[in-house]
Amino acid sequence: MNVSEFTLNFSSGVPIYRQIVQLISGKILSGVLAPGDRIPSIRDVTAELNVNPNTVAKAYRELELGGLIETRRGMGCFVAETAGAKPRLARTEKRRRLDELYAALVTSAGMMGISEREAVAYLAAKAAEPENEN
Amino acid sequence: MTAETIISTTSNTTSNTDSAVSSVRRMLKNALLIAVRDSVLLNLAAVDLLLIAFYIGSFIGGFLLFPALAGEPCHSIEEINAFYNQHKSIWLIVIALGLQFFGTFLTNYLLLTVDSEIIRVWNGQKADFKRGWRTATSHFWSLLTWSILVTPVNIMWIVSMCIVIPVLTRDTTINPFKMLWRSIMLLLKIWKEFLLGIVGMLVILYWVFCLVFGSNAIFTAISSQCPPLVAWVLLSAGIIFSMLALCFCYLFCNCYLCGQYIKASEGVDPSPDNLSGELV
Repeated sequence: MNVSEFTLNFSSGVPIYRQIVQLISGKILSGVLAPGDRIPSIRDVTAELNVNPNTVAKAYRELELGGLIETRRGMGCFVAETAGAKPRLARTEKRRRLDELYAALVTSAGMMGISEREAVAYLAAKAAEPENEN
Repeated sequence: MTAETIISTTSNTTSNTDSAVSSVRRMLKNALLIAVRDSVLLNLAAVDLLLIAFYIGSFIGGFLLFPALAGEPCHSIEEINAFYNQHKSIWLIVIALGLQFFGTFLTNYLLLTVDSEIIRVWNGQKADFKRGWRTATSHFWSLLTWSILVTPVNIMWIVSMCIVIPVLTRDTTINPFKMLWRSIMLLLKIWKEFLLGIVGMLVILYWVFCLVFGSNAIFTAISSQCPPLVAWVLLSAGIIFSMLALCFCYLFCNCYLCGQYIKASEGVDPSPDNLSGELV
């Protein structure tokens, strides 16, 4: 994986460290990155994308705590070899992403003068529509 | 669930264990460190301030020049007011607005030059004079549209300095309203730290100004009892010291504001060096 594959959006409102976590975890969970693949170093990402070292370090730490990547001293960061971790992580990651999407939806709705209750009612109605049943 | 709690949970900018006060204290300390440590940044800030001072000087000079060219030289503010009240014309208004626009654009341009390099230094890189100018030039259209929006409102330079220009360093939109909206959205994420930081910044600036005025008073008192040559040397030293302090204050304020911008956009307390030693 190269640093050039990192696409960060500074105007999206999503914190950069979270974007990095989502990007790498997305690639790992979708199988683009296989166990043992090398992840760009913090220094490379920092220099190339002009982001703070602490931001990349925090993203990597979160990925490491989640068991997605591992740091080998003096060698760099690699996709973790841990077998069986993927399905469990996929669920937690899915849950986390849904939480984020929900929070973003409520924020955007609030800015348009739509209450959380109204937004949820709309979602429920949308989910009950016949074309969404499958 | 309020919008504020949603923003705080999604951005995760302030952890439970880390209070806003200690975060602001750390940020102020780091901003001071950057302002003191990087001499290129201080030079850049000095050049910016000199250019701004030159512009203000020529603006005031222009006001005095018009009456002189018309054969009615003015010697006081009342005379200048009387002259411009007598010769009110659409052209004068257009020229004044044009000059004001140029000044706003120049200030924003120079601010972007400094801010882009400050962000680089926050991110662990070395400041580079030319790269700063190049970055500002690459945002020419954004700066132009923003300057057009803020020209009629003098007070908007504070908004520019505090929230918009740091955001523009990494945003390429040319819609000034979008710029303002995005800046406000980012500011909302860290409003508590932002306000606390302004107070902290004012306290530091107060002490710097006390130091400058105190030392200048001592210089003046000593020079009045010295031979003329020594007095001139002392006064020059006082002026140079004051100018340096002004540059330092300008740089320090911008370092702090850029640090807050990084925190808001990246979701992490920045530091110029990775202090955890985790650089792999």
